[in-house]
Amino acid sequence: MNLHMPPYSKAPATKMTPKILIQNMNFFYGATQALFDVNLEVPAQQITAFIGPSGCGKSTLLRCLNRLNDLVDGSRLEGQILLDGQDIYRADVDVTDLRTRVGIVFQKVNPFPKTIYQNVAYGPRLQKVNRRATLDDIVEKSLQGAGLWEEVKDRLHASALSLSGGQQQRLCIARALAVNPNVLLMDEPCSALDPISTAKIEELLHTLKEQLTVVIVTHNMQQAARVSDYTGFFLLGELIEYDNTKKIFTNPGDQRTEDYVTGRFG
Amino acid sequence: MTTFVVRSPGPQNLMASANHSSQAPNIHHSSLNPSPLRRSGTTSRRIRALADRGAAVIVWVGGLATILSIMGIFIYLLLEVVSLFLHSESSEQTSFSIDTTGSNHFDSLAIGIDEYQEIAYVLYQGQLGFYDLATSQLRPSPGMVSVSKTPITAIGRASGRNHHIAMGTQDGRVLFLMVQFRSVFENGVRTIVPSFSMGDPIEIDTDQSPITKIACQPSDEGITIAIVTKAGKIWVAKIEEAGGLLSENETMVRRMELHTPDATTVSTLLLDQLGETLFLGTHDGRLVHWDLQDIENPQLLSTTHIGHTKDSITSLAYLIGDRTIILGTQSGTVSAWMPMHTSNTESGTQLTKVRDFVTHPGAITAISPSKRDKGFVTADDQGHVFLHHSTAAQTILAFHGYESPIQDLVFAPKANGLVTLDAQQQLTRYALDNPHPEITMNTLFTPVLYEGYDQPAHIWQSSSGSDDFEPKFGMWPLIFGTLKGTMYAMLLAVPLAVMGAIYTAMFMSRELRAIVKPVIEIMAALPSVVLGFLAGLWFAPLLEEIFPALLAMSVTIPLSVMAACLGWQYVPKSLQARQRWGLDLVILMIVLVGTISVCLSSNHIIESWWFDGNYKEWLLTVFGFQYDQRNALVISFAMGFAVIPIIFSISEDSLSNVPKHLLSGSLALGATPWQTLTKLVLVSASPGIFSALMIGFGRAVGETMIVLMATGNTPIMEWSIFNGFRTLSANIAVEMPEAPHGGTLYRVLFLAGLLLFTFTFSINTIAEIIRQRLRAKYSQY
Repeated sequence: MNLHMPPYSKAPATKMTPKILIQNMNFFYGATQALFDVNLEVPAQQITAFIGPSGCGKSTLLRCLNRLNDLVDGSRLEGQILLDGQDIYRADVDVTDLRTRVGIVFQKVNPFPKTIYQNVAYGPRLQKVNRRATLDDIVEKSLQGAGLWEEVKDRLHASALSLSGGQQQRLCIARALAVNPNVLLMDEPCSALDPISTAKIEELLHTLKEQLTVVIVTHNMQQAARVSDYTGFFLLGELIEYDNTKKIFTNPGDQRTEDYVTGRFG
Repeated sequence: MTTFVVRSPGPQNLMASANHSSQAPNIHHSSLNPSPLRRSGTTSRRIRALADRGAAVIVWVGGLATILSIMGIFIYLLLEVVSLFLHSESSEQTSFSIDTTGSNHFDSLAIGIDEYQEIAYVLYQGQLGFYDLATSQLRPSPGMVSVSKTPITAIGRASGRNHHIAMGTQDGRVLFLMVQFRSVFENGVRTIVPSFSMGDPIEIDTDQSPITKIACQPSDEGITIAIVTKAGKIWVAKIEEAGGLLSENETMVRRMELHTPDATTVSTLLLDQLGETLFLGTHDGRLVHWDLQDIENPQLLSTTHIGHTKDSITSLAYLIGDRTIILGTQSGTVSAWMPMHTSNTESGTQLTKVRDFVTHPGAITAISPSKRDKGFVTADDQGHVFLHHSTAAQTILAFHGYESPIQDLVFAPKANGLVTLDAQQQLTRYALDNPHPEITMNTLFTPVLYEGYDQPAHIWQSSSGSDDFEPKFGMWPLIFGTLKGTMYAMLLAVPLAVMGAIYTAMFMSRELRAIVKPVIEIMAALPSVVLGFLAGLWFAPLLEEIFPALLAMSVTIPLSVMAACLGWQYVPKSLQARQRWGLDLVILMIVLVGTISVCLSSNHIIESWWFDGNYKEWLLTVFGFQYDQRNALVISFAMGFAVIPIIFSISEDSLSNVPKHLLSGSLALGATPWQTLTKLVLVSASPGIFSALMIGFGRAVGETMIVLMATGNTPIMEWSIFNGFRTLSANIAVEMPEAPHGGTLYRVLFLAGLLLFTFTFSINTIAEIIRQRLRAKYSQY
């Protein structure tokens, strides 16, 4: 394998269709280039993890997948990102529609200052789902999907801010699930959480994978090793290696990957 | 809501953890400190502790001082105001028997007092005596003087500042007496020197029938008198003298008999200050109004029945200003009567009873009006003296003398005392402390029927050119003006400021925002006196001229902006991308300036086409709006200009302080920026926007200079945007120079201040409570 610049890093031995296809992508914050010629294939209904040291561009890439970087003044993208074969950066793409298909959970736990119910119903209501029964149904299913239902079903109308940190993060997952996405992006979802909450979320990821494609950015290599099927390693804006998780952690093809996963730098 | 706050562990946890994190390093640090460093560590810790304590003390003292000074201001205002409502007080100061003999005759006596209440005179049985009230002694000079050899059967005292008295004698002649008090200063000591002068007897009725009633009134044109004789005739006369009233010159007497069947029933007479109006009170409860403008041709104007009962009118008096008549009856009722407009009578007015006062237990024997205000005192034949005030419609004080019929009663010239003479020849002087008789809660806050008005009204008019004017201290026009000004200013400022803040915080590029925000905040640096000056002297006349254009703008500007926004959608994307450099704003500016200049240049066309050539007339005829140059519209612009920066700045801060990760969270769920704004940002920023509105409101309520200079300060109660108003604050500023220290106006102005204070204080308190609740509900961290 070409160590320096793999022209096309595809997940090997995948029998699945790629959900997301990233081709020759460069990304700039104003004059600063944040990502360099990224080529990557995210398989459907698998968990893909992006790892790498701080500032390596993994979160930037994640945010490109639902065009949240559009909000940053002066940001610019070259190349293509295809979701189900469609370029999401084409001018006629409805960004709001894209974002309902590609949900995201942030590192910083960010429930809205509303009730638990209103948080989950926020997304559906934006799409003019206003029937109470339908909303109740969506809220219950989403909370169940996020594994939170049993804990909050008696206090749906309490403030979301009254939940613990781990519960708040699962609420954010439920909120993302409520608009029925087929890709869920997770940007270091457990970095602010205690081990028990982390374990719950990791457990959750396994069930989520049955319905949707998950892309997770993590600092925690054990987490990546535990939960993901595929792992991409980023360094200074470049995708160094992308492969089966097992391979990345046991037999990496690149020296830098090995140094990183064995903890020689970080 | 409360339960939510109690149950919510979020903020509490946050605070608890914050405390931990701030304390933890300290403990850690000291326990791990190696011993060589411990000494310096201890010293620095001590200094730190000292600094901490010092800071705590300063904060504590500062906070406490603030609270105390605000409370102090409040208490001071309250104390100044409370005196308005304190009860009047009186004390009996002197009471002694005058030295007289013989039988008493009811009408034939009179008493009087000087303005310092040192000397009283008594005219009794043809004798005039001056008494020193301090010593209760007859003054040696001029002593007891006989003023008439024939018995005096009737005495009439003229109203006004001077002591003019007309006496009717048993042989049908009229004598004039004038008493004067002069102040003489010797070595800085004031002495009052009384003197009197007499005129020649004048014969009115050739029958020489004894005069039973007499009224007199000197005016510029001479002395008007009215007499009733025992023979049942009523005469009116005007005595004019070439060389002064009481000189030796020839006097010219023009007289006329009033031919009326009432003559035998007349019980009392009343002349006005000009000597042109005569009222006859009768024994059968009628008030007969004669017009004496042409003395040789008196006109009977009207006859008013005072009530159902055939109650005898025993006493009549005009309050100063000659508009209100106080009427006392045999049964002891005291009432105030005013001419009111009516279509029933020929003259267009009808004497109407407007107020009843506390009824005396006995027949009214004397009424004496105050020479200062609309107060008066009444006395009855059982020794009671009541003090009333007409405007306030209240009976302020009651004195219960010596149960002896009071024969005459005089209110001291300064309205700070009164003198009575009863049937036991007991001369009694009462001192009065009655500083604010016209103020009650009712006169301040409810509609009052003032003299010259046909209906009770809320009116503020604290002073006028004449002394006999009735002060009107209705607070509602001022409160109303304050609210009106605030409302119109907020109506303009709130949408502009809040929407501007929303646009700046949510949609504007960062570079542009960095310019726009400080520029708007600089608007607040403009002193309000400059704004008021510009508004009153430049903008108000300008607005008056371009009003049709302004009206057109209110329609065309929104339309053209909307059209521009629609047009923007069709601008090529490549050009739209330049939005970051404000191309859209530049285009918008061009559209705005263009629309405004088109409107301005077609001002006259609009006026002639839309308003029939004169918008003021059009407004008046179509809507009944009077257009004043200085009006609420000017204020809404000027005061709006003053409050926009405050509302804008605080709203913008609270909007841009909504955490970015909340925005991302919302956008990531597929919300458009507009949905994010309306469903999330506005809710999260609502405490901040709310307090921005309240602070703007408080500023507008208390604003003085702009409303002072640009409203015209007319205390009227109309919502029309085209006329002015007067606010509490401007009123204080306007009237402060006219308010003598400690006077009624002075204290009423303090009341205005107290109202303002209470108003802003409660608004701020309520706003803060609401803000806290909103924050507990909607703010995240």
